[in-house]
Amino acid sequence: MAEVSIENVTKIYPGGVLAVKDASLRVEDQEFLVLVGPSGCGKSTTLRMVAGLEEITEGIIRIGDRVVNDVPPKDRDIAMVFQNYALYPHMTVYKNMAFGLKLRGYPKAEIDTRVAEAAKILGITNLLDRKPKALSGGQRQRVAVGRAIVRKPAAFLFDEPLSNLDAKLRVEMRAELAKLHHRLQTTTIYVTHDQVEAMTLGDRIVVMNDGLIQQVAPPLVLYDYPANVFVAGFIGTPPMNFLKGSLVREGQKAYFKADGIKIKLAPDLAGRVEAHMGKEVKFGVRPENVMVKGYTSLSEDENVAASQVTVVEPLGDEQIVYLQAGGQDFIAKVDSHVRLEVGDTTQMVFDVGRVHVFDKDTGVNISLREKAAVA
Amino acid sequence: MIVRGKHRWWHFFTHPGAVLVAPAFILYTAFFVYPAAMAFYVSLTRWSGFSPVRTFIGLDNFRELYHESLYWRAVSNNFIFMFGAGAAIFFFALLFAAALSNRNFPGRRFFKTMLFAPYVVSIVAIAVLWTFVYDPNWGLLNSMLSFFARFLVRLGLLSPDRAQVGVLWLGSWGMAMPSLSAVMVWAGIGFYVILLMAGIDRIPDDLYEAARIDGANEKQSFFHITLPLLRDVLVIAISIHIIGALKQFGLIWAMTRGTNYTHTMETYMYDVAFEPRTMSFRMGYGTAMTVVLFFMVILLTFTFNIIMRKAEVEY
Repeated sequence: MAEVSIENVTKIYPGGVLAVKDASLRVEDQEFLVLVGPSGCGKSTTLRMVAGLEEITEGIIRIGDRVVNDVPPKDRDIAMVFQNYALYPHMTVYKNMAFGLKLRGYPKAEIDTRVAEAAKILGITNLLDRKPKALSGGQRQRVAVGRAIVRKPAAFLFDEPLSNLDAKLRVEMRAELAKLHHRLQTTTIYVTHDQVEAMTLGDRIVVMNDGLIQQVAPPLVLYDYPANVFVAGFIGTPPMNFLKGSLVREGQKAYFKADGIKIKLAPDLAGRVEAHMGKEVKFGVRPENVMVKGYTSLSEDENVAASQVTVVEPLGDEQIVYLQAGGQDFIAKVDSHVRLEVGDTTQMVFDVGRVHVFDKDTGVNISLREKAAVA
Repeated sequence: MIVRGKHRWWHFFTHPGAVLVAPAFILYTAFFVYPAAMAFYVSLTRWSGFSPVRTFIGLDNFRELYHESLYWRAVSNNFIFMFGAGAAIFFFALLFAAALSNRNFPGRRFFKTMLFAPYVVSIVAIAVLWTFVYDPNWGLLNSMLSFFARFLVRLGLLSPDRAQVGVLWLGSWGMAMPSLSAVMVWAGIGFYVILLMAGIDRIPDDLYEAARIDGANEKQSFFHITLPLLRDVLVIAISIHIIGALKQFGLIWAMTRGTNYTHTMETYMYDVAFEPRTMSFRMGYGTAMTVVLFFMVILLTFTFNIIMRKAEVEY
């Protein structure tokens, strides 16, 4: 059990490619931290630097109290689960799991006990004599996890461990990993590009883009208080709507105004964005906060935009409705019993209690109440 | 319409595809199947190779072979090349392949080219080159040794009367076998390095990363990951080497003509059957050797493949 800390770490690959820029993170003991971001955002590189598989160009990495910058992977007391499982194809499941212990000179009896214990936890006891090729994807993934847990390391590192599984199995394994972490309470760093995995597994989530950490926060904080346009757009399905327009003050009241859309800002929000009054901004609202007039408890006299339905995607319990108002596209997630047809013009209501205002140029969320939520 | 029924061997000839394979089939029969079949017959005769008289003598040729010590020396030489040169080839080929597979190895491409270069040179040219190297009077090797000896004399580490170097590298069986083996290793190793490197390149990088995290050092990674996963490539490479060692002719013939008991089965067979120098012209006897060789190759490669047979590696 240990904390892992990354202090001002930069990674530049030979040839000058900047993979990670000045990243600082602190993973608490027993925490499940998820690194998430699009391909090439530097999340895997960050994990591999913690593992010792990539050298650090600048900065310090600590595991426990020890600086591990120059410590080889085997001496870092970590275990890693790879995307392609990386099981040794010529070894049985037992040998795959025992390999690390054997190299470390554990006595045979101890190895047997640990492998048996891990196999029992993961439900693979009956597979111990099989070779990896005789296993299904889900079983291989369990073996890969088993190989990590037999070592009882200070920290687990997962590099997109579920992305090679089919959708159904991925959901199952996700729940199992959560259960496993609850049981073992080992510090875990988990890399994924899947925001659902990130939201469901992480105690905290680190959102990365272009080698930079965008925000570090617990899942719901990330969802409700995104630090910038990138985080707001990355977390949530379908993604947050961004409307272009400007902030205007009319008498005592402040509005977001765009062609065909006029939304009154709540007084506290108006106060926070006062400095941007009269300027162009990006106005963010999540699809579930855009409602059909007549189907909501909100006051329906204001914040209504006449919108044309362009596409309707029924999902069973709800439907994703693509709309257009004043030449701008946006999406609403509404109950599936609301009858909407393509081509209809409908009145859409915006829930002003849950909107965000972003600086048009920097993308920073200027409507946040607590700056503490932002890393 | 598909006609269902028993497949008889003559259906091959009535199948429309027969026309397409006919040219290859005819050439293969005329130039391989027929001569090979004839060899079995010739091995049972006494025949000079050009005389119209061919006397059937049953297994006499084989009986004589069994009792002839020079033939057994030739056979044992083949096996010495197989095991001796083979051990050196695979030891160094694995070493080089493992080293050169590391993308950070300095001068990787240069070394690859250097190792492979001899393989594209004709074996006779290689033989001529090495005959110069091994020449006892003015060969490169002895010249270098002399130079070194004179250097030692100057330093007072060697008495001047012992400074004359005239090693007969190909002069006796004991010297010639290692000397010839060295040439075989030099000439053949590039091919095996390339083959093994292709095998190593196929092994996914994350296995090595997993091994590093599991605690393996470079040596342990090689023995626990690389070597076991190279198994199928090694089986093919060693099979090729076994067959090559059993067919060793060009190099030996060009360098020693089989004298000083460096004969292999092939050079000896040539001596017995075709060589004007020996005036032996015993075609039947020579052919009997090739028949034995034929079974040896089959038996050895078959046994080797059975020993090494195991499920193919899948990633």
